[in-house]
Amino acid sequence: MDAGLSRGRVSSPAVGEQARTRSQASLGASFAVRAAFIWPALLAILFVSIYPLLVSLYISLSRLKLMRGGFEFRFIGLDNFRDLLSGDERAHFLGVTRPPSPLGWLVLGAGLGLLGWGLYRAWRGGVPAAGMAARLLGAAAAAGVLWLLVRTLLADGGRPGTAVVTLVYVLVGVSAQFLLGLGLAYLLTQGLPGQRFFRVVFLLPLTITPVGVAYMFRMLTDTGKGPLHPLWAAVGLSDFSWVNDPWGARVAVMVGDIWQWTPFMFIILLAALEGQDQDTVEAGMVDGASRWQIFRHISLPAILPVCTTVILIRLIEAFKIIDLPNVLTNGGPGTATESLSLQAYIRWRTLDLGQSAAVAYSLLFIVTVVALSYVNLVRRRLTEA
Amino acid sequence: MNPLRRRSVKDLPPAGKLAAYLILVGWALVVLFPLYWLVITSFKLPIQVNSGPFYLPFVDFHPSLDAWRYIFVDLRDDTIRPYVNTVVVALSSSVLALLLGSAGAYALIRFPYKPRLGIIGLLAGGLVLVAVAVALGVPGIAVEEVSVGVGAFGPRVWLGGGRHRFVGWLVVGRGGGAGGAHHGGEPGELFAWQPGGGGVGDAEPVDRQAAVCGDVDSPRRRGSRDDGGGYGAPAG
Repeated sequence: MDAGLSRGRVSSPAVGEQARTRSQASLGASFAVRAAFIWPALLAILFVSIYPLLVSLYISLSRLKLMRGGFEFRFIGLDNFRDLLSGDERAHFLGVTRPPSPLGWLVLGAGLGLLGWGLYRAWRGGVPAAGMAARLLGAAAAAGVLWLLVRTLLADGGRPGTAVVTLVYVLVGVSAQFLLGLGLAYLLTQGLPGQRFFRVVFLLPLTITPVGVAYMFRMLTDTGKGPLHPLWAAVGLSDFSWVNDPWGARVAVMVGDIWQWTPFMFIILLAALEGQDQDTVEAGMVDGASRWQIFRHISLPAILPVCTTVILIRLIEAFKIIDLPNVLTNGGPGTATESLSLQAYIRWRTLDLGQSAAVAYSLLFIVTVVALSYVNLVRRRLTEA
Repeated sequence: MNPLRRRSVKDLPPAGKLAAYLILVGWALVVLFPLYWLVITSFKLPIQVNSGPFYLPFVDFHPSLDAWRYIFVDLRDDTIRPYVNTVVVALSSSVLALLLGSAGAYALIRFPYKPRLGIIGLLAGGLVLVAVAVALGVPGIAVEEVSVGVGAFGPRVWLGGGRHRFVGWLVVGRGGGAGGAHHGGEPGELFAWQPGGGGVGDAEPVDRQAAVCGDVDSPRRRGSRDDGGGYGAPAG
């Protein structure tokens, strides 16, 4: 199918005929035209995206060495990654692992049980061998992540590293943003007077730069001189410093992230809810369905595709969080609030380019695995429903 | 008019409406209060910020335009330049993305393409080859100054912050022809090396110089950081 044919399809046959002969006459020109359209974008992607990606892959396998009059990249193979996973960067990257506490064992058991149950169901459901193998791999990966989470978060003396902290940011942040956004969007489709005002107000955080948000939360989390001082004083926490406590600082980062990104979920889910078919909703009302039933069985299935997409977008975006922890806590106390991006950035600033690229590539790997398994899981659920 | 009154069956019942309004107003406060605080803080003097929370201008504290005067009068150019930078970057990147993206998108739906993966791969591979050759110091490729950092395509790349300034730029000149470019190497010669071109072998010996401006001290060892490094207290 050449250019003339597709042009002929949209206009009258006579014009299409004309166009075809014209395009046949100037096939060379049409090739040039095609090239002119596609090559700028292709070159931009090649130079700005693919090339740096490949170069940083090489950098991640090397170590920057300053020397007289310049520097060189020395190839060191997978040493950077080995450092991260089992070497002296392990405590920073993965965390300090300890034997799980009783609660940790409980959570681990429950998680493994769930995984096993899912595998058993898939096996009983007649999943072919290839699918079964993929599921086994996925379950093994999930079990590994769970093992790491339990041993760093739910263990005495355990401490989460940047990978675990980033995972916590993503899981807590995205689910809170989704639930809040969905709830607010639902309330604002109920025809309440004044909903225009709320819609505008709820969108405001999206327009503020993350650096501004971080400074704002720096003031808000100041229990002594911040605006919420009376509140903290009443609870007896006026001497408590959010940013000196590892979990306090992490919670501050998460709250800021939720504050900033809930509007994004909100506006898209609002559009989805407003766009759904009103006839089925009214039919449900006539049939005497309760509000919860209408939401659960009519609205939610209708907006499910939008939900899954918006969660995917936020999921990928959330893994790249850097601005909030950087400005709010500078990664501290110690490295407690460092995300993977921030770790890569700090490594980069200290001229440890190889380590930085290795962290960035680990992040890429994690995001890819999480996004792919999310897509597959959700798609499976959607096709089952 | 009573906003809680139920006008249609689709409306929430009064109790539900009340709850809905409570939630909405609550979240509106969560959104608006920090913004309000940000605004009134901009009218405070440092001493007022430091001596405890004051909430209402003219009641709690006397507002002043000091901070605003500081950024717009005292720091005039230092404030305006970032503003201009932001506008320039935002506008030009949007325009470029729009142009390239729409052209590409239009072309993709308008014409059929057989993606020539071979050529693309060759080009990408060639670029990688250059990078690897540069890094390993393969003789024959005259390397003027090698930028480091991901996505470095501007003439200058700044590494580090504060006083550790480190400038490098990437000029990969072809061994023979363009090889004359030593210190006159211009950004325009970026990626002038071509895969398969007669670059390797016929050129001057390796010449690797990184322009190092400012002082570069040795990279700080891993784990040590400006702001009191080490790891945090045990979490929990």
